[in-house]
Amino acid sequence: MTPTHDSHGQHRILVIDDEAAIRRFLHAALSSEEFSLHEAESGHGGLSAAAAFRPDVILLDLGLPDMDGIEVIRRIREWSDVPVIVLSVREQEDDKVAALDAGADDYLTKPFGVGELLARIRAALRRTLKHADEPVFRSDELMVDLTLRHVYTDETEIQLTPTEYDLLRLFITHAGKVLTHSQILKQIWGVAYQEQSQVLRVTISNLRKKIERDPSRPRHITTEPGVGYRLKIQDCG
Amino acid sequence: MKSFSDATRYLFSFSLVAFATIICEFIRPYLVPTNMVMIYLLAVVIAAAKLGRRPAIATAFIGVVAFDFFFVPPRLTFSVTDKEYLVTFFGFIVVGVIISSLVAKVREQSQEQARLSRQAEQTRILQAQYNLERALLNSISHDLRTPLVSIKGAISALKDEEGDRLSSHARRELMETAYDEAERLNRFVGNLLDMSRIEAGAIRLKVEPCDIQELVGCALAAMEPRMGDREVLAELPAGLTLVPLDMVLMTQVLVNLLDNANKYASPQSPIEIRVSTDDDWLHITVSDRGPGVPEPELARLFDKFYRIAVPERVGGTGLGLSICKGFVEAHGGSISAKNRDAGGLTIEIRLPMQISREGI
Repeated sequence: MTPTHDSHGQHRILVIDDEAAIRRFLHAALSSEEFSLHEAESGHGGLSAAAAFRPDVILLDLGLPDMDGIEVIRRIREWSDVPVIVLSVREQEDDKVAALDAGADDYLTKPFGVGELLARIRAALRRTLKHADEPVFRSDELMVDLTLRHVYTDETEIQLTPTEYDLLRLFITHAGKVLTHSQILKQIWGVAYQEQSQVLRVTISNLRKKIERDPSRPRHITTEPGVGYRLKIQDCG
Repeated sequence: MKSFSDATRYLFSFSLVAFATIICEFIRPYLVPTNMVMIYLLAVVIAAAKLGRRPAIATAFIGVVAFDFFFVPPRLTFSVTDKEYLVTFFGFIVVGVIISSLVAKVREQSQEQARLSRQAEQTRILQAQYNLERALLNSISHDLRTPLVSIKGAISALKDEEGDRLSSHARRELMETAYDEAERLNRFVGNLLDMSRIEAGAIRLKVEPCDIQELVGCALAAMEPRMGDREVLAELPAGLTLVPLDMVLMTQVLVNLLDNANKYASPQSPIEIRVSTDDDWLHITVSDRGPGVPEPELARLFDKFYRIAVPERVGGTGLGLSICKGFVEAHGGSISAKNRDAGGLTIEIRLPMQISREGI
């Protein structure tokens, strides 16, 4: 599905949150040339608005009064791939994982800054817009040629094991998006490994040693504690 | 003794008399029967001291009957040939009842006294708790209100029409104040929630095998906006195995330790993180070149709302280290602090390399 634009070329954002103060703040912060906003204050209201308004991005609060936020994501995913960014509080790591596993694209921990929110919204929009089969991925000193399976840092080719390469390619195809442990394990090692998180830790650690300048301060593959990993896209200058 | 039921007490009375009778049987060849009354009186005194008034009086009566039956001629009958023994019986009963009453009274008084002093102790503890809670409440409301005062003040200045007259520099300054204080408030509320989770015993560890380098990396990434360009030296052994721990909580622990070091040590000085292992334990130390902590106060460092006295006000909540302690102990580990020889503070965390399955 490609994002739709209204006559002014704005991206449409649907906010589903029961807190009036937060809707008011988001409305003020996001309404602009770039975005037009629609608001819903309940899960059911959000679901019908998602169908009627056809948003390009949905901002979804997990703590809705009438319906579990995870359920809202599942129902949206039955018919739409629209990016869903979950808004939740700090103590809900398990909920974040459940939301991502149910098909959410990203999450933001309340309270968040507008800069952070805009960056997530734009990243989500970029992912839906971008060409599915771009052959070369670049981020800072990291360059991956996906057709030839070559990986370079600072113009020097590095050797990855097949598993490390598969893992890196998975991150690249979901660049900027959080992947939960179980999503990665299922994709790379198969369903049987879904609980074997040490396999993932070791592979991530090895991959970082090869592609990060300082593996203890990773810039490309960052850890979201308790949730998963994210491949950050750095400016290529 | 007060837990005994009535029936048990009378059974004890009976046993005391039986015991006295056995003793008397042994000394019978050497004493005239009248003197044996003394042995029975001893049983009455013991009953009064240990069992209370009624069982003691019962002891006196059973004692008289036993004495009459076993020792007053003709033996092994209840009949009495020498009527003088009736006087002995009467005297024994009277003395027995008086002793019972007196001893039992003393006993009750001492029990009452113990009860009163227990009550007084409880009242004292409650009062101390109340004082502590009031002090905590004062401290919390102060920490909550201070940032709110700045936020409300700054925003009201910007919101009012008067705000239009402010220079752009002043407006910028006010906005930054409001933003920084909102951040501080957010951290404080987070700390309060963590602390209350610890105190309620509501910490559910989500233990997974973790890469310690990754853990350190997460903490450093979270601290980056607050640390500026301070140097952080991380020393990790190569080939460290995965350690089972709760990544989210332990990241929080390291962030709190780094935040403390960052607040108390001068910005030019480096912060050092060292990781080492032995067979059973993972050791992580965070060291700074700050002022350290006066030796007698080291032990109090992990107490709730404890803050070291420093001349310039440091915006801490006094909760960071006690949260660290709570989280580390939830892992079955320990945390300690010591001053460094060349100045500064080292906090050491010790975590088990194998975590017990219970409590997960």
